[in-house]
Amino acid sequence: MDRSATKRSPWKSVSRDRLLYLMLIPGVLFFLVFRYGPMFGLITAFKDFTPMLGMLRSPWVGLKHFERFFSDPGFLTLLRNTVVLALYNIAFFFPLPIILALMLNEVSSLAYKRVVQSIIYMPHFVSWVVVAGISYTLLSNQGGAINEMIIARGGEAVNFLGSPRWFRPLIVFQSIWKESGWGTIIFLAALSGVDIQLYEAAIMDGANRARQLWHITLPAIKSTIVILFILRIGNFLDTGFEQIFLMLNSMNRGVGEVFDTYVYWSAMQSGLFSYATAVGFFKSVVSLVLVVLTNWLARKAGEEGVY
Amino acid sequence: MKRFTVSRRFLSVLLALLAAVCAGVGGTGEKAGAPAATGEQFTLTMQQELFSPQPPDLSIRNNEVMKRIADFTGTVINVNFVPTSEYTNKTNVLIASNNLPMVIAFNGGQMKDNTIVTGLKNGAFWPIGNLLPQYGKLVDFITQPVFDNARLEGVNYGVPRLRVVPRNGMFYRKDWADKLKIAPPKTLEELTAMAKAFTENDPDGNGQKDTWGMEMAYASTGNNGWNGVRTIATALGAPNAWGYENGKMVPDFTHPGYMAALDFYRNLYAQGWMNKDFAVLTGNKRYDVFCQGKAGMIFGVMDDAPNQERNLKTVVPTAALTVAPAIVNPAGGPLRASATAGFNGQILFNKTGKGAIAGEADLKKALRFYDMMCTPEMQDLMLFGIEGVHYKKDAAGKRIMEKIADGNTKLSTSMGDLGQILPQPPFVEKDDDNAVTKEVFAAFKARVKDSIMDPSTSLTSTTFTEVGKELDQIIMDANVKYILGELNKDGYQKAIATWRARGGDKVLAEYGALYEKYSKK
Amino acid sequence: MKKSAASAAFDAANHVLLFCIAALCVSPFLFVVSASVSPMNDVLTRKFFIYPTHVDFSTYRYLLSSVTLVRSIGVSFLITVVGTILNVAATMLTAYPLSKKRLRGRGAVQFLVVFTMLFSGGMIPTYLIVNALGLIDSLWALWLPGLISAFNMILLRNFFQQLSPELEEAAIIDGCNDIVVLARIYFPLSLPSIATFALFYAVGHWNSYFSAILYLNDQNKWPIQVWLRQIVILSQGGFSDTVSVSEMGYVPPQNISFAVIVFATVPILLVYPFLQKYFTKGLMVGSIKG
Repeated sequence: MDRSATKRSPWKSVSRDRLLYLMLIPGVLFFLVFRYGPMFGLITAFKDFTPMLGMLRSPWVGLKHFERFFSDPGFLTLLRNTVVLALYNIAFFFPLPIILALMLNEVSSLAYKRVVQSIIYMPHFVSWVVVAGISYTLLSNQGGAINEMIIARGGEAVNFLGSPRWFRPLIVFQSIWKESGWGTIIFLAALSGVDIQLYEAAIMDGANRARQLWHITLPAIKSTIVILFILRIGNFLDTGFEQIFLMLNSMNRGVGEVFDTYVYWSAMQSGLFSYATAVGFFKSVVSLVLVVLTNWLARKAGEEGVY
Repeated sequence: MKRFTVSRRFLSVLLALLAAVCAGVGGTGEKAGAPAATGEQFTLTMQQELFSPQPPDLSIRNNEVMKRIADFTGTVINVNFVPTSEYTNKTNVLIASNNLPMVIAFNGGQMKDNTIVTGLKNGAFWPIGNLLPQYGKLVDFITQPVFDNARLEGVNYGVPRLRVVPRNGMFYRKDWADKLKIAPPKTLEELTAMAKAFTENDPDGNGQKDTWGMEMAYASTGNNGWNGVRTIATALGAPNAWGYENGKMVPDFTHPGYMAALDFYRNLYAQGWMNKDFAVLTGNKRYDVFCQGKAGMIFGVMDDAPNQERNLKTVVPTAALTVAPAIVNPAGGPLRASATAGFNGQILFNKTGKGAIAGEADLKKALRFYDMMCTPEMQDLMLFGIEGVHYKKDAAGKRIMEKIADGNTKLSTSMGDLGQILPQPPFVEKDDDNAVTKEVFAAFKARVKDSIMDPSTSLTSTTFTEVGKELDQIIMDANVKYILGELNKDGYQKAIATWRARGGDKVLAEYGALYEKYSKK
Repeated sequence: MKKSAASAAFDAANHVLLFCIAALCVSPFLFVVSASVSPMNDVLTRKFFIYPTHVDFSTYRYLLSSVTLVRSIGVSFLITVVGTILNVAATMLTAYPLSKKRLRGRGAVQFLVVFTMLFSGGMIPTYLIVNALGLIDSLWALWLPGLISAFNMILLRNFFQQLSPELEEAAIIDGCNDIVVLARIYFPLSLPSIATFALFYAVGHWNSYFSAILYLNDQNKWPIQVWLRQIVILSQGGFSDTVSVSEMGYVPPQNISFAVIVFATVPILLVYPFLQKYFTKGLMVGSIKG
């Protein structure tokens, strides 16, 4: 993996870079103690863990929890719901912060740019509970603002909050509203590192704005996009629990129930930690496979991966 | 570079700050107000759920009530409050790390939690049943039937926290009923007629047809006992969630009374006499809508009525709420009031870890403390406070509670949620109660004898712990779809069959076995 | 710079679209702010939308009169400022070496870091470790377990990698060692990205409530989000079936939730505009020639 290392003895490399290794010590210690340390807890996925008995004394049950999970009659539905929602998110939500950042980058007035920037990331600070409340106020079929407008124009109220058909678009739209603005920050930081002289040279060469975008702006954020994409794939099966839980009800549960909400009420609420850990373990393994795959593809395409 | 030298100075200032921080907050801090142990005194450490927006100062030097308790009982209490939203998580973590204090308050949901149940069965908490006879005041205060209900597989582990028994009911807009001259409804037909009138006859008199009869919520917590479906079902003869009939355990939704309740709502929905969005409305939000003044009837715990009336009056100053009478079963027979178990959760005595109650001697001291808190002096102190500070007497000798700016009593602000971990009566009548509050308490007293309780409170079932939530969801979803009209009676029966196959029958068998062993009289 | 017609049309469309998006983002906030200064009555009947019909500051008076809340703001500031500094320092120290391709073992370390993003032991094991280290009830329990975010670190490493290698070479020729290169050259040039991660970390600290409740037993050390969340949950009611009747003393009024939201977000919202000056373009200009 260390492409540029010349064939010199490992000790010479370490010695030459000893300051770098020294700088790494706090970080490595941190990861060892606070990230790898707690991983012993993963063993509870193979046990019937109760806090009372502790992790060592809880009985060993092997793959019992995994079997229960995979043979649950709702498993395929959960898988389908989680995967479809993830695909919707990647298709519709992932590109938006990039597009927004590019749009902002094109604005020449610094004042306008700063004001808009500061406004569009505000929704990030609104909690999902409030978002659910706003959704209810706007979309309820009993007095919701949007439905009132539709009725006033002679239409019939649409059951946005209950209909299975509207669930996924609603979730994606909520995510877009809440997080796109915040997501632009990282791209704007990348874009601010681009040398103005490159633009000036391009203009002198006769490049129009589209070409400038393609040849200068996009390459500047390319590696950031790739890394974020790999990490996003790494979180493929994570849909976020709170947002979906708040919007679930008896009518849209068929398309709405995903792994994260399932784990919440089937395991966490009853104190069945082992089961929750087992499901989490399954998700982690899938994520690992996806990340390794995507990272390898990225490296093959000549990009910097996450490792 | 200039920028960098500035940051260097900045950094050194922050390093100094860091040093101060380390000195000030490092390590396991002392709790403010922990008194020095004086010879006689016994210190009891506790953990309680926090429902207030600020913690009370319970230190002896700042809180006169606490000082009097310490003097009277010879016990000093040290309470760790944990905000309600993370109470279960934190408790589980403390159990896992053996860091629980001596006495912990567990709410009803936690008592069914796998962690606690396993803990109880494995000796994490002291059983107290054998010692109770020595503490007569405590037993009399809680009453023997409640202690019996609170047993887990025959053993008493904790002190149950008393709650009103026949708490579920309906309240409605008295001003609307008066205007339209509708008598208090006692049967489903009368309830339906009231819902129709509230929707169609313009009860708020504003000339617009913008009101409706019933407000109902069925998302998230909607399947609770206070939900109209279950309250009505019980009144019409169904068991309260679970019932033991003819030698076996049956669920409430197989009873014709339950179907009648569902049909009642199905009719209301089809006719447009209830809110159309009940399927997405959560239990909390339904009160929001109710207080906007658009709906007229609502099911819930009856003691919500005074609070809701207060909120409603800010929007409609002339509004008034009243408690609906008990629903009469057309098939005849005694009244049946949907009831709680008489307690919500228990106060348990920790046996493990370094914060535990060390031995039986200390357990007896703790129980003695609880016994003494049941005396009239201590009860009076906890419920009314100190004369001149928390209340004053008017000319007739009635007690008027001192209130602070936001309308709450001075006593509740200074004591916070401490009362939840000490013996307290299910409700307290105060001399300055308003009309609807008096009605609520009167209803409580009248319906106690008609209470129908849920026998599963003192029972456990491994299957229910595993799939219980899913089973509840199956029924909840079926109820919603049936009321919406998307499911017919056959479809509903199919849902019940799914419930049985998914684990419901196993749960019935397990509950039945334990009921016969411990609860059958 | 001459603009073509297409270019001007694009600019116009761009500005309008951005305006609409900004309006969509800000209107719920305007609603929240208006609701926070409206009397309860207006809030319940929704008599207003973007701006309030009647102004009533009682919600803010209520919040500010609470000693608990005011003290917890101070705690939040302390937690955020110290925490962010620790985060940024640790993240920089880790990202810099990993950005050097010549470092042996770099790939392995990076993989191990990514691995921690995918697998986690969970709340209970982490608590056990924090407990074993004696950090319970100390603010260090809030600063250490989250010291480095793998996500932020990977991105910062990526930004470091994008800086021109000639800078480092020039510095080494001048006799600087790695630490000096990081401090004197990379740090100033990466200010946009460092400011970004400082913002991310700061927001994380400011919004944290769960770790505080979990690790801190002493209520006096709880940050403001704990109390704000408590107030919002209480004002929504819903405890009636679990709380005893005699305890039903406290239900904060509805409009309080809105004031709480404003209270909780305004301080952190102010940080970004303050940091914006670090995001200006063209920081690279002159660094190679100079």
